[in-house]
Amino acid sequence: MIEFAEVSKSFGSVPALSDASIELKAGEFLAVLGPSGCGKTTLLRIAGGYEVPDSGRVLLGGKDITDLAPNRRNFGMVFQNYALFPHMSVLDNVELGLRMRGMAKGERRRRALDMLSLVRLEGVEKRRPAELSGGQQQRVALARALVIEPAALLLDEPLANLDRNVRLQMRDELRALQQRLRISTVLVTHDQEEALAIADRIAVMDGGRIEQTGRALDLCLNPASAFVSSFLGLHG
Amino acid sequence: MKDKPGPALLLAPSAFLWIAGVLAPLVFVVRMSLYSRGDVSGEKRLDTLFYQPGTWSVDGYVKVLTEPFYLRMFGFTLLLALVVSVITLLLGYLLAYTIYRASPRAKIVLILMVALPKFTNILVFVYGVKMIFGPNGFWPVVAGEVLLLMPYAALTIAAALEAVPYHLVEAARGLGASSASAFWRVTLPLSLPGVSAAAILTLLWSAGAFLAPYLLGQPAQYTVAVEVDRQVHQDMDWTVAAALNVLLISFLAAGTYALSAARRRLA
Repeated sequence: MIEFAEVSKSFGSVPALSDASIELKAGEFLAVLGPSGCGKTTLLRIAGGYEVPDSGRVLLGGKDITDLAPNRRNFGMVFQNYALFPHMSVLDNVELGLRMRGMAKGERRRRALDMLSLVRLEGVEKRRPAELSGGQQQRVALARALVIEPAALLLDEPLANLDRNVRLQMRDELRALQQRLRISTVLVTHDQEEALAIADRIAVMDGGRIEQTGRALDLCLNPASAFVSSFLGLHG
Repeated sequence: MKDKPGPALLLAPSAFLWIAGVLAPLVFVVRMSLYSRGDVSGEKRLDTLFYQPGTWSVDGYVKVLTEPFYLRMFGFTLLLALVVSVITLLLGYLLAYTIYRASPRAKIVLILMVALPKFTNILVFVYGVKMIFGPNGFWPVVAGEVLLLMPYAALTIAAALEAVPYHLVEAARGLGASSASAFWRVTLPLSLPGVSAAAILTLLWSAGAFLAPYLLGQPAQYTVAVEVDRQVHQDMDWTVAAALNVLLISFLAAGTYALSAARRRLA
């Protein structure tokens, strides 16, 4: 599906990503887990086309998309602070991606409303994002990313700004939604519990390197390094 | 128990500024516009030369509102303000956008470059414009005003653009928007409050334009402000000068009110 081949990226003299290679399989939920500054967000931004790597390639279904602009990639990105357009209604936010694809008004309205009801957000489509709660904004961001039927869903700490109760509920809903749509998903997070609970596979990152990739159980039973072990909170 | 200064007392400094600096001069100008015009015929006495104290009259207004010369001048002043403002806002937006997209270090340099002309003496600046744009006429006046006002417009709009988070543009790009349509649908609408603030600034300023029309224009490009100066210093008719002023201020107040109302709807 999405394949990173030895991708490196520095900002000035600071290396953010060093020879990162990893593949997101079709329909898989992959969590990229690591402390802040480990390069996980850079990895996601390279997938989205917001950063161009210094070296290495990014492939989508075998096709090189390394230098493709974000608007030519068809990924659904959810930003950490949701990045909802404050001057547009909820409905206009969700419709924008379809509008950019030249879809007729009636059709795009129908699809946007369908998607809003799929993320269990009905009756607020006329409101502005600022009038919604954090959890509701999160759902709008998700609907906006999903309605364009993206090749993959890219999530940058989507649950980090939510209260604990809402976060746990959204986490389960996110997983259920991903299962239902069978959409390939990358979730970037610093929260071990979240990664363990939600993902099919976890990539643990530190200092711009991918330390280990595997299923939650494999990581716990055979941590590849002291860092993986301590970051997952394993003792002994 | 000590007496605390009441809220009224705390407002006193600002109230004093408003009354002494804004209201009182305005009242003086309005009163001046309502005297009988000066006695310039026969024996010239200094105390009645500019206006006749103690009288009430609307002659100044009648003169200004009936003579085609003045009506044309008002028309030209507003036209100039409009042309100058539109050009200033377009070019100012361009400068502001460049600042918005620049790296933090380049940003400081660019802002300095925009502000730098303001450190020159304004007369030197206007004469510099004259050397570049050649013989006096309409476009040199426009160029002079635009160059004088552009830093204010650019910095006002740049401040508004700074408040537009760039990740909103990225979000639009990710949804399939080209950089042009991301600008059109996200950046521009979110920066409009700054544009309307800059519009108010440039409209007010250019409608009061004096120096550029006076130094870079032919008599056909003289604005109301130039005529006010002429009335005060050459024709010695202070009532007409004041009437011109009151009418210009009223126009601008109405215009500003309309723009502010539009601004509130944007916010």
